[in-house]
Amino acid sequence: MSCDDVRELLEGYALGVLEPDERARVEAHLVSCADCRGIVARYEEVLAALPDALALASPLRLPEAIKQRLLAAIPTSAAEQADEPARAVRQRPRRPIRRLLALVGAVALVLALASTAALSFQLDHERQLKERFAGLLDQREIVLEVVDGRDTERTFLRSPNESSTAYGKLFTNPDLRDVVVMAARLRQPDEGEQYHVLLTSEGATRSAGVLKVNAKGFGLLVFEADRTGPRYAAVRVTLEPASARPGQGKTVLTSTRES
Amino acid sequence: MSHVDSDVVLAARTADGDVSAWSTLYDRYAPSVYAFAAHTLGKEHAEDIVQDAFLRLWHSAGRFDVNRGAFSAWFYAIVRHRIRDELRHRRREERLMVAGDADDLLAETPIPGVDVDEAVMQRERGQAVLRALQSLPPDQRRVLVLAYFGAGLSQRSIADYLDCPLGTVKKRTRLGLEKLRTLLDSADASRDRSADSKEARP
Repeated sequence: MSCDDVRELLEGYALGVLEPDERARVEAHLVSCADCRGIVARYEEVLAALPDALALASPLRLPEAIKQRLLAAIPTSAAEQADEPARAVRQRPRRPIRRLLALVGAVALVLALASTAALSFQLDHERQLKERFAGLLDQREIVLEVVDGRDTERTFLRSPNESSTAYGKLFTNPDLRDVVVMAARLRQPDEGEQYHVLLTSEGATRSAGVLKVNAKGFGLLVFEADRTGPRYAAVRVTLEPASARPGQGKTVLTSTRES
Repeated sequence: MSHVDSDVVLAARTADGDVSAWSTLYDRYAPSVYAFAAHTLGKEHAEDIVQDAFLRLWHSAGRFDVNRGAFSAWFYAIVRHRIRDELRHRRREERLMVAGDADDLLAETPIPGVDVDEAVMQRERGQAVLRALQSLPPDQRRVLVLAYFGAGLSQRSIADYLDCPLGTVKKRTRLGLEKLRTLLDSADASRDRSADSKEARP
């Protein structure tokens, strides 16, 4: 394929607006064409100036407190890194040491999903936060690796009901058995009800467990799949009567594979 | 372009755990990340996006590869991807509308004068591109801005929204971005000629 065949697509490619077949044609060409790669890189750089223009034009101003929170969070995680060798690590391969710094990132991501942002995001009160998320932090190695891994795959979960803002994500990693499910903006289950995560693979559907939802509507479930790098044909979060076998309840979130 | 080199150096130092390098990149880019997120997702989500983006920068700066393009392009791609994740939950009309608002703002804001503060770099870049955007034909500017800030919208949905043929949107995208590039190339060239002393600032 020559440069002429894709030349008219490079702008759309840099913007990420091409149809999948067009994008595939461009990518196939870029592999072997440094000239066109250079053109795309320059377009991407030009487009990357758009947020700067918007910042200049916008009346909205970055709150100063954000940086202080981040600065407080970063050295904390660096200090933790120093303590790390003394801590028992489960039977999993040691990660390069810098990956441990990602801990705060993983917690931040969890909280970002919790999405009632400002208050829950007091990263400078990390100690306090650790207590609140004690359960989660016990599993932090897993959550971190699964959620923030280089090859992590995410499956989005959305409400079948258009007017609901509830959503969730399922994180899997091709090298791990552990799976993380997070959901946000779910209402508290009524007495005698609970949320289940139902997974379908190879034609069978089973519950991965109960998804507990906190007062802010945020839920987290970490479980071990029956194989490394599990894939599911469908993922649902359902509201089930606590007394019955899961699978009869109403679907509140359902999966759409991310491209 | 020496300002790009500076970003590269700062990214490398951040990857080595240098908080002051990270802090400089924050000052340079956080206002833009915030504006991007606040105008597409709303102020309440924008803080999350900024925090997430800069925590990611802190622990993933080592993944930036200078051979594959500018730091700004790499970093904003992360931000835009994250915003696109959030936007998936919104209706297409809403996404087009907020991107359209961003376009109105970009089209109508008077170019501010040069001032010296912590975000000089970002302001210099912003000024040049704001000037360039305002000299584009409005139809071309609009498809570019809708496509960029509508993160993930297809050209077809932009064509439907603007009530014009898909071919027209593709043509405007092509001409608009090509022209924007030319305008910024000449702005970069003239700034590089005059800005060596500024770049030496710590």
